[in-house]
Amino acid sequence: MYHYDGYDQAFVAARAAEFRDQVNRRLAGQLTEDEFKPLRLKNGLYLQLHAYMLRIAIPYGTLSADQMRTLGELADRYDRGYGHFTTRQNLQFNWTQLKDVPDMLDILAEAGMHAIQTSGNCIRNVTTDAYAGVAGDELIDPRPTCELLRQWSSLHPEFAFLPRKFKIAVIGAAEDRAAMKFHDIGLTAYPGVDGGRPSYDVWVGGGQGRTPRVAQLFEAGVPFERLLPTLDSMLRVYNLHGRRDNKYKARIKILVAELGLEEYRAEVKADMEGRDLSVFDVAGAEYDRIAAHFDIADVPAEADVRLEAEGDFAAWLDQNVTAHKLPGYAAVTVSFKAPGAIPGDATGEDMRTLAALAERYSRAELRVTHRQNVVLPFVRKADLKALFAALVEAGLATANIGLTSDIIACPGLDYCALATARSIPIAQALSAQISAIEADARAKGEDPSGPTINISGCINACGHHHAANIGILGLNKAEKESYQITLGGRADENAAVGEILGPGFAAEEVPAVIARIIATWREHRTANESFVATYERVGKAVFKTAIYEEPLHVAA
Amino acid sequence: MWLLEHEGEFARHEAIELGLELSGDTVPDTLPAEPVVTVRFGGYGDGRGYSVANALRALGYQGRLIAAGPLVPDQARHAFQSGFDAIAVTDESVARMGEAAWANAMSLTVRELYTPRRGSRGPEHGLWAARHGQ
Amino acid sequence: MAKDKRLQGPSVLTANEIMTGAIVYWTGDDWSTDIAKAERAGPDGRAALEEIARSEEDGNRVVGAYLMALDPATNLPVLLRERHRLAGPSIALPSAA
Ligand code: SF4
Repeated sequence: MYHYDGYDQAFVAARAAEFRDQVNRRLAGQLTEDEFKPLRLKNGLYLQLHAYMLRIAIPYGTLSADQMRTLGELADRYDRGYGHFTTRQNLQFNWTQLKDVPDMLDILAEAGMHAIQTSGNCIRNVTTDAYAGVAGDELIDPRPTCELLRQWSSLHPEFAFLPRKFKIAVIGAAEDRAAMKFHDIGLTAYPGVDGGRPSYDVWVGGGQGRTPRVAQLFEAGVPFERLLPTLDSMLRVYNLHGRRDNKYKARIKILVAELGLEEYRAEVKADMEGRDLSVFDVAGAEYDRIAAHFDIADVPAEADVRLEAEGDFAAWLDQNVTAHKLPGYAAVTVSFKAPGAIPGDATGEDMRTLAALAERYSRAELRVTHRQNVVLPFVRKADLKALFAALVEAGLATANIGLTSDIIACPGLDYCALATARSIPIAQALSAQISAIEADARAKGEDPSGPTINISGCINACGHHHAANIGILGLNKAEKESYQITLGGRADENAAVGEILGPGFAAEEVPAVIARIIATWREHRTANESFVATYERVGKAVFKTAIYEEPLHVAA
Repeated sequence: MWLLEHEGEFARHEAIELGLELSGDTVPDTLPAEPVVTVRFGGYGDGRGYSVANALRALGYQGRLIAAGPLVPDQARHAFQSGFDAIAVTDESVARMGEAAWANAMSLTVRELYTPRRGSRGPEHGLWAARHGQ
Repeated sequence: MAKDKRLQGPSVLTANEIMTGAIVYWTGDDWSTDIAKAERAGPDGRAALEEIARSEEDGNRVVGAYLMALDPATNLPVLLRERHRLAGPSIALPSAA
């Protein structure tokens, strides 16, 4: 993975010092709250429903064991002993104090970390496939590109006060595990000719929130040399022409929709034309330097082992262990979705345990997934049994990765200042109910898999509800929580936005509704058909009838 | 009115030569002939002015570019690195935000970026260039 | 409608303490984390509290000061969001588990 050199180190240390000065000027009254707010947001600091929340960048979800341990220390020392892994592969602390944040940033900088641009109307931290660099189906590791973009976009002077936030994702495999098409800009990297630098398909205008959109292809096969100039001009056209009169129409997806893709493309081309692009000449050498950090040629080859497994270990192997590029290795996903758990929450102790396990079993490297779990990407197959035992010991061996009980949920009204309803209690109720059904299926020797469920506590859609097979959106109807269901969304390479099923439900009704939806799917499913395949084949009406025709009989 | 120059000088002036005044929301169609151009930002959160400066430099504007409007010291870096030579600061803003905060705006910020902007007046050389001995 | 109802009952002035982020209430001469100590204003007293909100914000000790309407029948905030803000997270925190 990427390790900071002295330049990176000095850069984040300088940013931490700058923030300390900004806090001091705020406390002295030299900056008003209106002036300070964008500055603190650009450094990941929110004032949430109950307290200040600090969102720490985990660039493209990759972190070292030492960095994970640092996060655990921060959880215990400055927060209430836990943190929350987000759908953007970051970590947030819910109970920080403004007076402590400069010290926290110093500690992070020491560990080669920061909170730069984890919020605010700027280029946010770049996300990718959590299995990047190790996935069996990968064409090229997208992370050197991600790191290049991290450096290019960090503290970018021109694009720091954009009309709205700007999210970029990069993938390098046929299967999209990063919801790339739901980003403002999405990139698919392809290996260069003769081992040269990659080329890219550039997608634009995806996003979730109030107006969910799947990205459109801006240009295919952009050579490496033209990547940064193209992004530069795409951002400039957005900065100059994106709407600033209405925050709900300010994302690039609206600009592209209003201008039309052709016109947007023409504007970008016009901006690039005649520009002296020599400042980007050095990007190639820098890419090569970064790529060397991700080279895994030195990983010793391991003999492929056949594992004899039964019971819980077999279930865990089935669910949580992913095929690896290298023979003799596997990628292991650790689930933060135990029955009744809070999706994405981990205690300081969990973080330290994972750091120690990564050191012992995974070349001291970890990943955060956009489904709010953590990956140990380099586990020798011969170590799987020992690792499983250690995870059982730590209470981190839940075997449900990719199953329905692996629910995404945003913090919702238990923490978030923008929320219209709670997400977490819904996730907890559903995960308890569904985990039991999955365990039962497994016991009977049946396939336990099913639809994905994502939950957001407001229309901002941080819980990616639009992109779930079953999406749940919490709304406020006359000061009562009401939950709207969408069906048929998907975040993969065939990305689609879910359709609203009908009128919303009370919190107590949601588990019964979800049970009916899953039962309806099972009833109409042909052998091995996925939820979306059935949904697309039989249509919404079948589900609608099944849900709304008979009363739910749930005690409120 | 005060002026913060990109080389660091910060001083009060009785009169300031603002030259041609442009709105910070659009890039002009033609290259201004005036030796001094002032770009007025519509608001603190409105970052179009930075792109206007960058675009003017890319078009080949060689004269003096001044940023004006409701900016804070933390944005001095953004302005210089986008191609402005100076920032016009009101007396009110110096009084409230602090003379020291303005005068030290460039020493209290992150000056060295990974890749500089074409036309940058910031003091940065670019970390990529430094890494690769350029 | 909802707005009218809000204006009929009592209101308290609430904000966040700037250094810690703690939720605080105006007692009449200072801020307290205890809502029971909060000064309650009827419809006629709202303007005076609004003024205190602005001047206290200018003092840079608190941020985001605003008036929170209470339901006279239950004594709880009228708005769902504020009921949750008052009560704290409705879930068991992971560290307490
Ligand atoms: S979706 Fe809404 S409630 Fe959930 S974290 Fe995002 S802004 Fe908050």
